[in-house]
Amino acid sequence: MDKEIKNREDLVENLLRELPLHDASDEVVSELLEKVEATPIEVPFESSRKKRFAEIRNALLASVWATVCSASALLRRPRYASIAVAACSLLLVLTHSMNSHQSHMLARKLRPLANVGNHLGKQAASEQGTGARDAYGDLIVSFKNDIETAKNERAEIYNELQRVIADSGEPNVGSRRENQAPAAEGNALPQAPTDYDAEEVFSDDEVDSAADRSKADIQGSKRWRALEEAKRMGPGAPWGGSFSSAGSDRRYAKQAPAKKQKEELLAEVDSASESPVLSGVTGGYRNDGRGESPQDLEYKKFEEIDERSKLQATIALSSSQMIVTEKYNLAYAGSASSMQSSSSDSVSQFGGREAFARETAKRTDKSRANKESLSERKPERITGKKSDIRQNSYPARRQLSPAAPEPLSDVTRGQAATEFLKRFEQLDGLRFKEASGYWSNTYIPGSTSVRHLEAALKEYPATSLRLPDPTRYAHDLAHQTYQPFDAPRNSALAVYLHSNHTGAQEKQRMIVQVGLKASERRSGQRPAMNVAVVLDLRKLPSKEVLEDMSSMLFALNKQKDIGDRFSLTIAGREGGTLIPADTFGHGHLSVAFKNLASAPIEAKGGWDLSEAMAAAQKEVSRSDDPTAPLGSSLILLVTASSLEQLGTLGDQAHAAALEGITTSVVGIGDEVHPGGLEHLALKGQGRRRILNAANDAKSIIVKELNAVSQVVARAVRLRIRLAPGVQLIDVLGSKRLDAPSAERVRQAEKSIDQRISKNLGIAADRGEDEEGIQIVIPAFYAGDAHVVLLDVVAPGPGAISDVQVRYKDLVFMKNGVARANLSLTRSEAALGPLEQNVLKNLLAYSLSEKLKYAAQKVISSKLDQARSILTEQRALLRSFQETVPGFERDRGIRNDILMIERYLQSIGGPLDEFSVRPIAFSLQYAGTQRVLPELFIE
Amino acid sequence: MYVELQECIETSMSEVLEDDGRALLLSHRDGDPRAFSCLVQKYRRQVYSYLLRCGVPASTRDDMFQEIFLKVHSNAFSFNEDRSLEPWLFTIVANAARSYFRSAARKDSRNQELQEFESDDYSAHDVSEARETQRWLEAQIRELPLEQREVLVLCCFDDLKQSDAAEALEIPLNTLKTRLRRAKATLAAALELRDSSAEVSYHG
Repeated sequence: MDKEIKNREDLVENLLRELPLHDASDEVVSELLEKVEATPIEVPFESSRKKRFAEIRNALLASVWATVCSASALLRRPRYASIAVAACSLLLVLTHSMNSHQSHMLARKLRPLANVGNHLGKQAASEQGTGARDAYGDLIVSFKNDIETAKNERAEIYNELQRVIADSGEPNVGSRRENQAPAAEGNALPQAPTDYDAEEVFSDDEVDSAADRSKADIQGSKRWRALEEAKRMGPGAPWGGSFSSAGSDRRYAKQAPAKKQKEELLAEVDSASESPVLSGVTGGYRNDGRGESPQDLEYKKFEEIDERSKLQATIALSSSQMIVTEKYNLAYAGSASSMQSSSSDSVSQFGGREAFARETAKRTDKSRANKESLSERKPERITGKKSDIRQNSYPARRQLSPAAPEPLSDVTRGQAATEFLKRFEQLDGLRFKEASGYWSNTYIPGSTSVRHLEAALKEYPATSLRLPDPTRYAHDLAHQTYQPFDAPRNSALAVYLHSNHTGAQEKQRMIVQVGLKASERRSGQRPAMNVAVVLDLRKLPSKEVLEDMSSMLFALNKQKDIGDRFSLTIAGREGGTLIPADTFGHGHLSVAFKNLASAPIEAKGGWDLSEAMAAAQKEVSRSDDPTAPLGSSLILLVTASSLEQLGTLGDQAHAAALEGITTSVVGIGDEVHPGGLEHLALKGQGRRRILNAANDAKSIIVKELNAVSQVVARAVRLRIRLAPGVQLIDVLGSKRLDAPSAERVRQAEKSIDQRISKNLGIAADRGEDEEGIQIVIPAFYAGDAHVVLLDVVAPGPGAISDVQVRYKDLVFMKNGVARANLSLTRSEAALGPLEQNVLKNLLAYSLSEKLKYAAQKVISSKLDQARSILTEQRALLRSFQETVPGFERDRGIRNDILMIERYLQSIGGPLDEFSVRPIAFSLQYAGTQRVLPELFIE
Repeated sequence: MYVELQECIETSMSEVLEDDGRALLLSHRDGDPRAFSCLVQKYRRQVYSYLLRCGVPASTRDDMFQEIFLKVHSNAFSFNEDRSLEPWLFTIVANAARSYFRSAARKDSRNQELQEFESDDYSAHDVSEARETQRWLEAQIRELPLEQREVLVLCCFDDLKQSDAAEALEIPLNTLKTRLRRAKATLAAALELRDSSAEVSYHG
């Protein structure tokens, strides 16, 4: 048994491995990469947020401790120590629950208190000496230890900060770091030397010029470049993006990923250690012998490491210090005395480094010589100003700078492209149209004409147009231009308004693009379905097949919703419309199947399949709503036998499809022939499914019924208003409707409005005409994008147009409104991707028109003219490809060129009458598809 | 950007795919402008398949795919270069998927039924029994509990080592093995049921 289970599991694993991997579309990836370009990498500014908290918390503890203890010492009230403990605990909790900014603000507020405390503490210490320690007991000792730790950490962090500030060349993070510093600026904490002293001694100009010169010297050197290279080695490098202070120098010695480069640089580094940086340090700081800072201890540890490691550590130290020199460390040299007086602790913390640097400097004569030579320039460099120093920053965020789109004027390099664009910019001899009334809708996915063309192309495939992949033809390369509109998240539709110009100084002709983008999310509601089920019982079905059929019907009944109309028609046996739409229900179904199961086998006289299909079509047509979404009228053939009369059935399905009635087929049992089912489904623009088990019935039915739920918006009313003075030349691809046509559009819109109001409860709000251009789109599908291009003349800068879209939002079940407006500035800025997209759409529109025109020429056997049209288009596309940045690799344009070349090959020689029609159909189809969304299939 | 993508595809796709993902991320971190597009090319199918098979609906999948790689990009510096990239990457992917399911569970269950079926990305005209079985299997995978589903997808589709998958999902290795075995057993049982019902249906 176990073995069987194991075998089953192995089989499952094998099956799993056979499943194909699915892939993200190129558009998604392309969009992602664009987003990545615009998104900076987050470089960790501090080793961690936690550490920042710890730092601030320690600072706070130190401040409060100093204040309270000093006060208690002064007042000789040791019990105040317990208050100090409580206060510190409270602050600990507070700072834990705060963000860094809040902690920082709290620290700032406590600073004056800390100053007072420090002052009092000093006074108390001078009065009492070490007696206070005895008085406060062990608790105070432990607190003192904590404070020592806090001091050390603080000092290390500050020290590290100095190095990194000087290391970086960007202006922000230094100030961020600076903002955190005040938390520790209370006098109770060790004060790192500041540059205020230097500021008093040297002028700003001296600071800047000296800093620039020395930086240029260093950056120009081989060593700098090599060190830069070492820096690129990652976090293991000395300044690998971390402030982790405690063992950082020791880590340098251990990690050193750029070991090889560093070894090569050792000699130079020695000189670097003797450079003004280190000489500044050595000259600037004195270890006054009052205890050893953590740095001292670290350097002492270095003494115990082998010679090589020490030198490597020197690289790390000198590399960072070399940069610090520029504006920072040398300043200390000039202000040593003042710093010494400011804080003895701070002096001692640099003492270790000084000693170590001196030690290193002794190792080579060369470095000494170097030191001497460099020290001649020292007076020029010893200066620094607070703002200069602190504005040096750590490169917190790295921006991958995207290439700025080039202005459109570059387009004019290509002659064909120039001429094309000139046509859309000339202002002479223009005729203007009235920008009002109803205009024809250009969003027609799955329109009847496209269905006709598809059907014709399937019936008469143009073999000469086959692509290397034999299942694809030239017209399969025609796709709508990718529209870079963001899909809305909180509504079904979004509207975008752009132009191919960003500015206009004077009267300017331009293309205004209204873009519509539907939500990717399907609407939760499917439309009311009108389904006629045809059961094929021409042959006696087995009991199991009959059970499967009944399970299909009962599943359908279970899915029936308000507004749905289902009917059952039988082919063979007791043929006819067994259950009409009005009486379809559980009871009637039960009776029907009971009768079918008990009916005599020899019963004859029923309809054949063709008659049953015709009856079903009639039943659906009887209650078909022309305004319902495509696919909501459906004939569902359920069969368990192979289909005969495929030709007739196919024709019937095709005819029904042209009327908007889809035919889908469900095969049951092992007698069905998949090829036949597929043929019928293709003809009927429906789907083919196999029912393997009665359990699958529900899923098949739900899939069928939900196939049309891709409609996310109904009764989309697009209103485009032009600003005063803006004149309309044309709405490309559309035309102004005459009065009767406009009335039909109004009626259709009202019908949808009222039906949706009745069925879905979205308030009816249509019936009023609006000013401006009105376009009504009956249904908009999930994920689709559509553009309307307007050719207009603007009088100059200022408002150009505004757009409002009102629609029945089937995703969020409300009346949706989206608005956008467009105005131009006086100066033309670089075109963004959306402005460039206007140009692509214009090109697509032009190509679409030309392809249709070429189709007319082909059908009338004027092949020379067709060739000329296509050749001209190819030249135009190539010209754009060569001259417009970003177009050279545009997939749509490349496909267009490939497609045209295929057409040119196919009409290169004389054509017989059987070849002409498929090519013409193909051209017409490609012309239509180039500007339309993909056909909705499932 | 598309140019870079194309270049990446056309010039050195084979090299890229063989390239170590970790090296690509490190190059990207060091400022190599092409490295990230190559990295995306290398993992796009695995990541997308993971999202699809874990049941992330089509409407969200593309966005989530982009968010995941944006996270990879923006958090590139938090990647420990001593580790392999896959566990790190798939931790991000798994967390994104889990996060989605958590938030989806809170939302109105109105669309659940739709989501169940909307990832049917196949053409209705693909006629083969193998395809049918595949589709059935895909549906069954979506029926598995998320914890089993994610293990199954990582180990069987994305070809992660079990240890890497455990690291990515932040679960012990033995837990992963248990979940994987349960997932396979569930599918095996469903397969058995399907076969038996098919036999009855065809020959009974």
